[in-house]
Amino acid sequence: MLKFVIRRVGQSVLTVFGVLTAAFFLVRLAGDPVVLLLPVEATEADIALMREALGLDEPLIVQYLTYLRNAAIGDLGMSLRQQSPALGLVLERVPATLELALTAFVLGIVMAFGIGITMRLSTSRRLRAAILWVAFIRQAVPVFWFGLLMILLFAVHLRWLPSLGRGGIEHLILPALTLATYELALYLRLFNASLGEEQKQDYVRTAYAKGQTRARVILRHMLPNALLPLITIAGLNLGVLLGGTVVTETVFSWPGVGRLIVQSVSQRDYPVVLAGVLVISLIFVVINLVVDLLYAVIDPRVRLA
Amino acid sequence: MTAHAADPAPPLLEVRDLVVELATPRGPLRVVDGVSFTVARREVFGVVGESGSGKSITMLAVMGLLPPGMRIAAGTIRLDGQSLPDLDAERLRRLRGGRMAMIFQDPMTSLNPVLRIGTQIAEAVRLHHPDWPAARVHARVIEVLGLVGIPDPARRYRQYPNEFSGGMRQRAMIAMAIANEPDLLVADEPTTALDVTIQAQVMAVLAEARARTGAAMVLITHDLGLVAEVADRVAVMYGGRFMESAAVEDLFRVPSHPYSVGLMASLPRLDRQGEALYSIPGQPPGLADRPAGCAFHPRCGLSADRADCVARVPELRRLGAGAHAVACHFAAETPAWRDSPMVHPPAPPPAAAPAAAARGSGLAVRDLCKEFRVSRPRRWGSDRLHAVAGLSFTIARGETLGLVGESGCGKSTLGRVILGLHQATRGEITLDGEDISRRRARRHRRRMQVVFQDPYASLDPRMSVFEIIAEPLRINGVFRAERVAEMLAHVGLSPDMAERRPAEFSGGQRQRIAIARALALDPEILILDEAVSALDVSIQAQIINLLKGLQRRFGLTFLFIAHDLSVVRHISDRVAVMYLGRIVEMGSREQVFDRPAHPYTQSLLSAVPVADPAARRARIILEGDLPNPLHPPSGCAFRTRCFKARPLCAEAPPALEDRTGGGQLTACHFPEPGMPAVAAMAATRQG
Repeated sequence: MLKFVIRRVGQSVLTVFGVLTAAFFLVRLAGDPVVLLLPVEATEADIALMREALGLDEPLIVQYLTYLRNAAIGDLGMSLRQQSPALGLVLERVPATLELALTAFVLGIVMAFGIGITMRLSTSRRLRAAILWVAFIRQAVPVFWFGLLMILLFAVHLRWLPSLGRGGIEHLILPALTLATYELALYLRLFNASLGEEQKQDYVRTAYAKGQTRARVILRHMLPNALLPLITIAGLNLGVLLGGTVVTETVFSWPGVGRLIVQSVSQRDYPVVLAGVLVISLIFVVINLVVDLLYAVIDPRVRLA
Repeated sequence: MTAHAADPAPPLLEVRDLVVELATPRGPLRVVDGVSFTVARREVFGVVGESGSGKSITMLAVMGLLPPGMRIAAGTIRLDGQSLPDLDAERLRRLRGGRMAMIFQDPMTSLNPVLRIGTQIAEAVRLHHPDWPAARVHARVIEVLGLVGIPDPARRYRQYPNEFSGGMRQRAMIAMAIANEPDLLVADEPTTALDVTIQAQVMAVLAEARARTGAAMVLITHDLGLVAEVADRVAVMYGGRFMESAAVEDLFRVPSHPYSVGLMASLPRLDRQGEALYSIPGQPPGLADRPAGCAFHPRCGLSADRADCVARVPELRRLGAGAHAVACHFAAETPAWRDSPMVHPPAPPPAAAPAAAARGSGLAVRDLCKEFRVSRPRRWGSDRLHAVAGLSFTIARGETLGLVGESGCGKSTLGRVILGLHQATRGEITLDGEDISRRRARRHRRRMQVVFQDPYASLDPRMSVFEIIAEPLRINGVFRAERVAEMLAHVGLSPDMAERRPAEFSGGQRQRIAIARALALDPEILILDEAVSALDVSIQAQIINLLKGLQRRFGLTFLFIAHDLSVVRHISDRVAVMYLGRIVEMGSREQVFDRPAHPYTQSLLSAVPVADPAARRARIILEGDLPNPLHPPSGCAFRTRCFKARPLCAEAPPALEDRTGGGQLTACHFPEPGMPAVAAMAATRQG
């Protein structure tokens, strides 16, 4: 197990390094930030001065190495637009993103779990078909449109909940539900498919042959096996949620990381973009590490591999 | 109607006129079509049949475990007089795993991978003894694990299925089934997934467990040998019906249904050789296209489509006063047909060897090694796995070398190295004196082709048969459409099947396609890697006869890799026996099969069930599993399981050399040609 953990952590460090490198060069492809930063009437001398101040006159490879060295100690430079450290700007936004993403994720997965198991335990095929149909419809509806509908219904017509910004729990409900129902639909369909797959396995027949009851065959035998694919997808998806619920954050004017990155890209505020990408990739990598470790806890076969 | 044995005691299990239907959009199909039988206490009742005959479904119906879509449409099932289909689900559930228990075929998938072995057995105990305290349940699990011969049961209790070998998992399945001392054990192909020495272990464990619990057993299998060795009475099933039912001695002495006769005549035998195999023509019918009248009539060698066979379903009727019953309108004619040359085709003349030899000296392998690097679990670094550890042999032109050994012995790796699919670590492979083991030898590929075991997995499902056979021709730039049609004709398929895809063919037909593909380039050597192992008996005989015919016709050289010793004896000129990457014995088939000198060869031969109840015998049962090939024992690799092992065996590995005169090579310090008496051997083991 220790060897497994060490190997996975090593892979994670490599991944972060790869992301840092890719992000650095991709941002440089996007164009020269100096031109955007200075007024149109700036002289050649002004531009050269600005370049020197930002370290942009160095060869690209030197800039890259400087960037790596600074990144290693957590210094990702100053924002080009606001006079504060880029990493600080991103970290300020992290709690808002975490709040929204985690709430939506937990809501989605708990509901999927409850409804999925109930669906399997029930012998009614119609119930299952009806639930899956609703889930399918929800999955087909774009997030921004569903969010707007929620605002229209609960904020505009019923006036129960605020439509914009971040504040108390009442601000959280609409964006969280918008995301959570999408997550719910995804996990429910996946969970149902993987339970259905497990139902065909030979060990299920063995359990029935022992005289086990249907409910306990499902809960004791099928459930742990059916969780494995669910954990993989949920882990990947949590990463996606944390990194960029851009659309939801925009629709509900939620001050999260996703919105910050989108704004910074359009302003060519590349230190902020790099800081954002780094933070998100770190979160992503940590989650995947946790998923793999969870896998090993549930499935003894992974531990040996 | 089933014939009753003349005993006054009521039977343990009584099944009468059982019909099981599968619901389909086009109406119900009869999977089991009016089956009746009884099983007495302590009796072993064998049900033999090929895939799709309905044998497993019959017993799943008894257990109340029919898959979705199937239901009991008619008939009665009584366990100790109690009607099972009339019980509510809850009461039937309490009988399952309690009074009747089932052992399934594949121990790899029949245990839950995420639960500990002990937990899974304890579950069975607790379900039927809810009042037992945890300590008592635990003690019972340890007890049954010990009973089925699992060493160190307290430690094994805490392990997961992936930490068990195949044989150990099947023992755990048996432990689970006997944990509540059932009256009836249903064993569905319990050893089909296991190697022959492990099969012998498991069958011995099963016999011991039955002796202790007094359970009767229904043994479902396709293996006539296993039935002959174990069963008291046997039923032969085909197309959802019993074709014949008899005491085991009677069935094998005087098979009286043309299907039973055909099955037995198409079975390669370990105790005989030489004659060509009878092959039942055609394919077993699918569920949807079972013929009217007698289900067997289109393939019957006796019927020749007589009106009665086509029109009327024959009842299972007693032949005489005894319990032997047959479902055939013309059972009276079977004895004459059974002994006719139609069933015993004469052996074909031997291949024209001199002509073939003129083409070159054949395949020679010298000191061949193949190592794999295997990363160590839970530790750093990697180990070397010696899959093939220094092999030398030759195969002359037109000859068949049979290569036998249990799973993990390296026989398939050897085939792949020869083909060039793996690069040899050391050693030399020559074809007609030319080295073909180096990478640049790709151009030699077309001279050697391969047929794999699983015709379902080895053909690309998206390609048409035409494309499958044309592909090797196109790769080598010799494509001609006529060649494809010609190949189909060679393997007995009609050229108008070329546009179909593999899914539309049965297993036997797919293997014919695989053979056509392999032969398309007119190779000199064909490597047959378990090429008939996945096929039903009647189809296996067809493919073996086809291969032998093609060999004669084209002067092919075969490397026939298989675990089935009977088939190897039937098809091979010479035989090599492998154990842990090494050849332990090699010689002509008569030498290896009739005068084996290596204890491993002797054990293998003794472990094979022979389809003749009169020849039941004590057998050498090897202890334990194959050693971990990463850390093979010192000296002779076989010594840890050998009944003859002495101190010298641990010190020096025995060389493969002629130790008895006559050209038979044996790698053993203490070779003794011939089958040892089992009693003498048991004494050796204790001494």
